[in-house]
Amino acid sequence: MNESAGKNKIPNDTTVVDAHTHLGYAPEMYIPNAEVEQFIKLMDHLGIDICLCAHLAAIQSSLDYGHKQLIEDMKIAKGRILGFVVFNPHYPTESMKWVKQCKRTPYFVAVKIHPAWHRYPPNGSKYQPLWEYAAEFNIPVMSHTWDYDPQNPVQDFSHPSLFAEVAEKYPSVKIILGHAGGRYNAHIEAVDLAQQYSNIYLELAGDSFLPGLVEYVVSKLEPERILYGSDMIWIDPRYHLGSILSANITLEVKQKILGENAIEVYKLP
Amino acid sequence: MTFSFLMEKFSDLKREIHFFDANCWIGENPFPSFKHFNNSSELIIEMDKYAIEEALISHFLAWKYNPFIGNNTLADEIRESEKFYGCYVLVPPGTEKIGDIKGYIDEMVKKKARAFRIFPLEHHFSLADWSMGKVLSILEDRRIPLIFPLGQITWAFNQVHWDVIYELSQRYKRLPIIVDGYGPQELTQSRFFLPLLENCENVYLDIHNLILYGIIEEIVNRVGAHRLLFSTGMPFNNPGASLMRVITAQISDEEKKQIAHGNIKRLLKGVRI
Repeated sequence: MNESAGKNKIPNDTTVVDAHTHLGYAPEMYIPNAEVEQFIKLMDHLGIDICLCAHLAAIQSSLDYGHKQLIEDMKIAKGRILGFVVFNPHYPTESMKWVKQCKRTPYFVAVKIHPAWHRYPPNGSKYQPLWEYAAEFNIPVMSHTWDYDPQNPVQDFSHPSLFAEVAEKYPSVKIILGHAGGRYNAHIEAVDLAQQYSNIYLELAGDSFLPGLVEYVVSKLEPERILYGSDMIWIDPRYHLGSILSANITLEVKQKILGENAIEVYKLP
Repeated sequence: MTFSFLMEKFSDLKREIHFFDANCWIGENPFPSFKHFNNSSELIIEMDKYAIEEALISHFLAWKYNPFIGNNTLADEIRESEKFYGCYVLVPPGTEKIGDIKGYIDEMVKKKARAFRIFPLEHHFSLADWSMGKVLSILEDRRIPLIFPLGQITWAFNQVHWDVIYELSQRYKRLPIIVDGYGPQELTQSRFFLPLLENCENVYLDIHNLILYGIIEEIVNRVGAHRLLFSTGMPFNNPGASLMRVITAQISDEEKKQIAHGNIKRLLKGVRI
């Protein structure tokens, strides 16, 4: 725990933004209290002001159903939940219809891609319409990223190294690597990539709470390019909150990671 | 609970609640990591930073090299320490240079063993009575907790044999069985462990990898806080993660204390020395 926390009071207007969340259900497991009302209650309990959210149905089964459900949830949340539009490369027309919502409504702030779930690499041609649109209209794109995993080989489609070509070709697009690679080896590669490309950002959600990870990333990158995320409704947000709050980094950097950076990157209202 | 409250009170709340870590490791970490603790002294430094008062610890040598050598190394490490209890590793009798198994368990309990771990997948043995029956009977008789890493029952991704835990819990109803959630799979296992907890009173879960959204509150509501054990999983996990989970859990203060230290202390005190 950074003991300076007791000596440096955090202003009450510190905004906390969880930059990687989901609503909906997952076939793999029972998720208790998955409804948006309970989700907001937990946000209130923890002092999380805003969640950026991609609906699980939009990623896993139905773009239309998922996005429409998310819109209903965002209405209930009254601005506390803002949306990622999901781009599925195998349904480009449908996807682009939703991507254009990023320009039309204040509810959607960016695009989410999931190369592992959709089994298609981010530098593949099917993602090209998205990258071009994002470049033209300054839309950030957040992606699931993960390490190679022999037990789950679809993760190979989401390795951080695959984003080098995209970052190079579209330097104006802010590319946020969700999970920052997900595992130790890919964390290192994600950091290396972010050092090479100033339009790459790292977001720390996931099931990896390696001691020293937060400090390592902060030691290698300017803190403005590091974002807090939890992967909530899969993962309870308290684990990652605890990792960052107790990290041996300054209070100022914690404030940036926990909210200021997301506000800047996603141009949140 | 506001964010500024969390930041200012995190330090105080750790000390009010008192934490006993039911699962952490020392020794050279065989897995890639930013941190590891070569010995108990290094672990104490980290524990002090997080106000974790005591721990049940294991040694990587016993898992990744040889149980007999690793257990002895751990015993030497913790002999003089008031903060640590040992979680040693066992294999079937006659398959390691440990002599009579009853004598060995006696000896290790004198060396501060208060729990044992097994790795049937990696150490290649059966849990059937013809293999481990004598060991499990002794542990049950002495009420010594058996820690069962989740990764040892997952034969391949998406194939989980929680049936193994159920069968063990039914064969040895007075044996405390603690499922160590190490590994990524626990996140997706709620349809296994919720019914298991409801049906098996002697099964406990540690929390360092019990990371599914809201699941701790769900378990407390369904079966009670007495079945959960605070753990950090160091060096696999940042201790701040589990600490925050308990400190901000939406359960009573009494339930938090049960999870933080009460349950593991009750189990360890139940060991027949």
